[in-house]
Amino acid sequence: MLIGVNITSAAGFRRAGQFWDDGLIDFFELLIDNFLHVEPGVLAAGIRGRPVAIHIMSSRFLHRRADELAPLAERLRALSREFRPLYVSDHLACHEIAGQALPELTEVDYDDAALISATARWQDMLGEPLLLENYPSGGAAGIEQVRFFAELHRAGAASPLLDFSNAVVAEKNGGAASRDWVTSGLPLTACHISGYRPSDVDDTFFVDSHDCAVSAESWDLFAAALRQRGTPGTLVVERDERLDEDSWADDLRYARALAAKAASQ
Amino acid sequence: MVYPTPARLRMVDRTSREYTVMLLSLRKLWHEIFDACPGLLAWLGAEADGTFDDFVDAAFAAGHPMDWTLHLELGSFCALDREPAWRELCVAAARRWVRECQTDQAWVALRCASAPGRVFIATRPRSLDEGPRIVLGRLVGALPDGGLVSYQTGGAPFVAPVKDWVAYWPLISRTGLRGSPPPGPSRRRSPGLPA
Repeated sequence: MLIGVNITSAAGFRRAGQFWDDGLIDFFELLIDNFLHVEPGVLAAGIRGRPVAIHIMSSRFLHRRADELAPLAERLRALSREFRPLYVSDHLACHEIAGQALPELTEVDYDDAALISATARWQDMLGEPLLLENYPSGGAAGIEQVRFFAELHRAGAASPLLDFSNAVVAEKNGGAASRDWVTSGLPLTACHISGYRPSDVDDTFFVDSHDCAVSAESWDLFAAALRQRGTPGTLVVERDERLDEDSWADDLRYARALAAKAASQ
Repeated sequence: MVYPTPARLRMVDRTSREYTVMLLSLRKLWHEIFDACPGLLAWLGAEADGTFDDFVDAAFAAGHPMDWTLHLELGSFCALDREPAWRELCVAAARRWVRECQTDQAWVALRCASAPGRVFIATRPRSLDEGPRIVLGRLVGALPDGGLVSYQTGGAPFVAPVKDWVAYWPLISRTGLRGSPPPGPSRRRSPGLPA
């Protein structure tokens, strides 16, 4: 299993470089939206041959016409040719309603008949297999998420990028049971894990804050996946806020130790 | 799914999950607007939250895309004529353009009638270890007719903008929609998005 960290900024890139030098990570996951204007050759010079994955935040592929997506798709294909990324992933979420940008990503309606075709179209435009990150559901509307991802996969439109912590948050908030992701039979090739916390509005509602250590419940779900499904190809330990590099490094070491223990059993 | 607005929040049961989710979204928007404008926040003082509520309700009602131009609209909504406040708003808008607008343009420049002679330029990163840059410049020359703020964008590398300023016409007023702007591109479409 390759372990990586998310890179969303120049400071994040420098931090990831230090983690690489310390032997804590095996690849970089670039939040590519923040680096789209860096020439591929300049990106390559910075990456220096180290493995990368491409994670997309705001393609808005569910909201845009094909002609609107085409320039972004072309750019991403060029990056894929340059770097041969470990994977290309995006978010299945709503970014806007009736042309008005939402303050944050919102969960889709899994009964929307257009979701699968829109996803398949985006995958075709990217020219390679697309992974979609599961959503940290805010309530019972997320009950259908695992079922929908299975449908997406059967249609050949996308596979999951399983965020173990998002799955735990979704369950805590009344969405799908987190273990369903492990028992679903869906491929678990690329994964994320990160910290979450209770919201300061209602402490029974959890948010994927990416600002603290990974929880015991998230690690338990990861361990269950290791036991039942084997070791995934990649795991990104994410951190975006309240950066505590020692804590982040501890999570990276723990992830590697869990995977090594599972592999030896 | 409904768009979270202060007006809608007031109609929702405060003990419901819907209320929690909507309030968290609105708080995120509050921080998006005011974290970048601490001087404006301080100036508004006790009026800040009420202004936020009225502004977001008006922006939603006017069909504003709620994008990088939102800070410019806030300045118009508050009828600001203070240069420090407009400097904050222009820089905030430019930063958000860099962060969010998916276009092949590498920089945005803004000018504002309330900050005469000033140009606020934000450029996108050109390498992995370089973040977005904000450049404050000085230029001479009038703004396009009627423009409270004007802007232009360009491809890399950045060159001093000397022409092709586009006037930004605010959509929102305290009393509702403004009168129709001059003919031009659709006002609903963010100027930062690809044509």
